[in-house]
Amino acid sequence: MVIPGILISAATFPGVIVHELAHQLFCRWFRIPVFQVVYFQFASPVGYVLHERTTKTHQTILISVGPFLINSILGFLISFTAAWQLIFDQANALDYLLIYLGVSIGAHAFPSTGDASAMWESIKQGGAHPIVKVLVAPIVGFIYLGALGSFFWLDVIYGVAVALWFPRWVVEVFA
Amino acid sequence: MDSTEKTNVDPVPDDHAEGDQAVSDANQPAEDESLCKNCKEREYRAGFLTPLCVECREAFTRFPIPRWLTFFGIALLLVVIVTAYRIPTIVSCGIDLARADKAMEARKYRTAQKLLVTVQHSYPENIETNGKMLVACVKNMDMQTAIENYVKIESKTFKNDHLLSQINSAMSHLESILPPDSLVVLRIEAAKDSVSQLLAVFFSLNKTEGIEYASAGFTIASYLYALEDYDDAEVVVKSVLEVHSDHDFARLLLCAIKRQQGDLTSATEIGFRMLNENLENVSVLAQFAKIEMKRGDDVKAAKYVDQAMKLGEGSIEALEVRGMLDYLSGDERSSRAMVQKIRSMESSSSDGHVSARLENMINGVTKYR
Repeated sequence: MVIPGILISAATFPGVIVHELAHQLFCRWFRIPVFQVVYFQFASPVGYVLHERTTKTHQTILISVGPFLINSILGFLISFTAAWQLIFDQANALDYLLIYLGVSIGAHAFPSTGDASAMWESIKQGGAHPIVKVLVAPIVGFIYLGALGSFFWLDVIYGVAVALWFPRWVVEVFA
Repeated sequence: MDSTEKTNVDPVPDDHAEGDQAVSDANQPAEDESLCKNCKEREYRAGFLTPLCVECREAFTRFPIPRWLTFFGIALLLVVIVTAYRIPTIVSCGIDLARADKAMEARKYRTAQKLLVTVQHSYPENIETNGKMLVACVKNMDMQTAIENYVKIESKTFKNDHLLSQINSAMSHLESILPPDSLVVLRIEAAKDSVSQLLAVFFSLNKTEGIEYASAGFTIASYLYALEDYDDAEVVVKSVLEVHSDHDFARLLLCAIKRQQGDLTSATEIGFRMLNENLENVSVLAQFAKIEMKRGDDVKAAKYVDQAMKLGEGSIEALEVRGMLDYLSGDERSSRAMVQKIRSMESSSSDGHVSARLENMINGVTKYR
């Protein structure tokens, strides 16, 4: 079923906000000037962060993939107890809210194609070592695959996995 | 989905007309190239792609996070912290549930049952736990607990097809040991002290009634066994198994019959087949202990008794073989104490003759070997 992406993003807007916040935080941590942040808008893109380009490849990579880390971890932590309450048939309204937040935040963990092209441009223009290009290329590839997969709801599936499946899997690892 | 994008450019301050490429181009004319591109008051700090002075760079580095977002984040953090009190129970029960799953996969249903009890203590209404408990209880031949759990899951929906299939199989076992028709029960009770009357009742049963037939037949076979008519008991129990081959109580009774008939090899074979389905079947371990006692190998019997006691804890079968071994090893006092203990538990057991059997053995009425 094809649903306009903007509607999906609107329904999961907390994830968009956290995604942009993650970019902003990584810029802040690397002391990269940020000139504009739009956490959410009903337009394409639904959010963005305008910042200075950095010459350091590792900073570029981390700024680009930062949302994947932050959104995944945050989505997992927020919904951990709620997911288990659902498993044990004891979820209440607050738990469903936490699960919604977890799924929304997890669903926007994937870096965007804009992030990928920014990463690629950075290492191209920055004259990065060939080994760095070899390491970064798969990441860029995965991001584009992820973007393609979002057409098949892969990002939402990931969000559900982060919020509902990972909490169960993490505990079962200790069993 | 319209993915969010991050624009990673050389700075485009809102009031800048030239666009992305202008700022980092060193050959731009007209403006004083040494001034900060933002405030245009101070000199820019060299070494960066964007010509900004120290103060402006610092300000942009600490681009503010909106207050509403900060408050929302704090509120969310508080909610997560407040709900964190559930974590210890969740982790503990989650681990127990996962371990119970592994135990069931490994056919260790006693272990599974113990683990599921702790989960049920915290989450008594959880359908998945109650369903698995039903399966484990039936495998452990703990029918009373199985029925309690059946009541909990009656008319509930299961999304897990594998679990549902296990529950349906367990239900089939459960139905086979439910008491038969009340009129048949009365007839069997009236005949319980007479072999011929019991057989008369048995032969009047309709084999096509399936579960009813199996249930009544098993009851009759149990009474025949108690009357020590092992040959007729064998005929009846085999007829039950023809109708319901998975009737665990009937199989166990056949194992006991073979043991009493002296056919220890057949008894052992039946036991091993049952043990293969549930590695922690206390009833079967107790049977093995009795078989070894019959053989005269009390050392081996003691190992089975220990296993049964460890797994079964307060189960009547484990206590019975403990009592038997105590008597055969000369500790009559402990054996008699076991009789008392068993008698107090017998009302809830499927085998109401255990204490009498053990007492007869201690008093010399029956000779075990």
